[in-house]
Amino acid sequence: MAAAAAEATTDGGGKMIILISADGKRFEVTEAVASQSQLISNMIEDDCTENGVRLPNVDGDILTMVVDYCNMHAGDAAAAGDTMKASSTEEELKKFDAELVQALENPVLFKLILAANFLNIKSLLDMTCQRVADMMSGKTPEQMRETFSIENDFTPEEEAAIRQENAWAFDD
Amino acid sequence: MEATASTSQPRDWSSLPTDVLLLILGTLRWSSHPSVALVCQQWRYAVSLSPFYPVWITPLLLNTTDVGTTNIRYYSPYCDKNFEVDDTLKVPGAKICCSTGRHLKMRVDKSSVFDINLVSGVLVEVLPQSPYALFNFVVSDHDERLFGIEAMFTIEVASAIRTNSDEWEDWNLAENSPDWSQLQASPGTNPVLHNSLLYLLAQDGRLAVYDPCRHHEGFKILDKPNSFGFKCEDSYLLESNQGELMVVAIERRGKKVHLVKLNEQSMEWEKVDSLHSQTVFTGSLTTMMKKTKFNWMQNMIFLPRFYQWPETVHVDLVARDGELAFVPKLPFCADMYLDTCGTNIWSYELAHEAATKEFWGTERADYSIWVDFGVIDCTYNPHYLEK
Repeated sequence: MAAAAAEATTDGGGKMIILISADGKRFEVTEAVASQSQLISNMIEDDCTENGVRLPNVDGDILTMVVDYCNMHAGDAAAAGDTMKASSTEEELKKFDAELVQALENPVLFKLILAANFLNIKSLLDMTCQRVADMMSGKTPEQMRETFSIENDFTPEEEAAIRQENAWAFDD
Repeated sequence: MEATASTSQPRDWSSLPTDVLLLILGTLRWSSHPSVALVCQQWRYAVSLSPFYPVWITPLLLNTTDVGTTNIRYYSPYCDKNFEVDDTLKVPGAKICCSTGRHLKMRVDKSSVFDINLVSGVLVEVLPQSPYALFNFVVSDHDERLFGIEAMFTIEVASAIRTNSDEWEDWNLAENSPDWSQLQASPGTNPVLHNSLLYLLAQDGRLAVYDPCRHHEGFKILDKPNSFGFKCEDSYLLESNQGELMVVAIERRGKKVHLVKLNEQSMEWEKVDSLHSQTVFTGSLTTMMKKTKFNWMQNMIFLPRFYQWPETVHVDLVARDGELAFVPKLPFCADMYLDTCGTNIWSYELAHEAATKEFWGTERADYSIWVDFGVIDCTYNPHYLEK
């Protein structure tokens, strides 16, 4: 049955693909939507999507966001179908992106970056990385560690060595 | 079909994949990279994969073997390295005139002036040749106005005003030109704008002054000051960050370096003992005073002479969020560790009245001028920046 579903076509004629998250949630999307992921696009080319694509390191809640994002941005793709989403204006897209990225809690942002990186969705990766860069910008190392809950794994000697290498940035 | 993950899933931010960290670093200002390196081992590793040298921290000595045909190099006194970019000054045989921020003015033939944006590489012919003058100096006033000065037997001055972004009105030559035959202009230093007047320095310490508001009057030789009161071989005029007119005067063979300022009441040169933690970069047509954040540079005067020719690193000039850095071209093998102990440039410590090393044996860099990429174009104003 899965195979049949994967081969199913929409009214518009676009081929459908099933994405399966780590926790077994299934998402049915058009090829145009899915191929925003370079990884899946390659798999489609290699004809190995008929049984659905298992994504063992992407949780269902994250994949939901990724699929929402890809649906929203499917209009960007050249072979956009006649879905409602494809008609989203540039302004709406910007608003959608800004809201998506601003609303993210730290752990979710982290997982979304990993998913975008793994699935190789460049625009989503750029956008989430920019968000991280904004969160780092102007912060001291201590403030960054606090923001991202990172343990200081340097010895005092290592820390001194890094300061020494970059004396131009730390000397006052 | 299962899309396989390469490794087990990382758990927290310290384990961000290196390529993702490099993407993030690519959108961050250069100056924040060292702080990122101090967060954790993994982040430090990513930072080490995108090496760069900061450009904005001190003025740089632009130098080239041959103007217009050989690549531009920038010597950084902080890194003690010469950074060579894949670009030339584009106008063969041109004479370097003055630098303001990222812009360099050059003169060809008699008085045809070119402007090159050293970061974008864009070359503009600012002004066509003027038929009547051979300029010794071309001075730029905030890139809004240009002065061309001929100081051979008479002092001729011409000015041009920028009318819009790319257009300049033609040279306008002042009617008056005083006889300068008894005096010699100090050849290595540009005239300097000070309190809206343009000052021209003579080798013996006398001054000529020109008021752009009374253009037709041209330059006038001042009665005072009438000398430095000591002999020197080279002299360089500058306006200090406190708004004083100063001269760096160098005795023969660098035996002594004098710093004097003009007392505008008595109109005499007075000795200056301290730069108040500032640093002077001189020995080229453009002289600049700057407060750097490095203790070892305070109260020092840097001149474009070298003991040994500094190591050359081939780089690209890359801007991120307004900050410029030299990014080494691959394959990269030079050491990134900046050793600030032994620099090859000749410098003079004002407080100790002594050169850091012997002058003897130093070699002068030809075709060189100090440039400062730490200032923002068009709003360049030393007073404003230092306060």
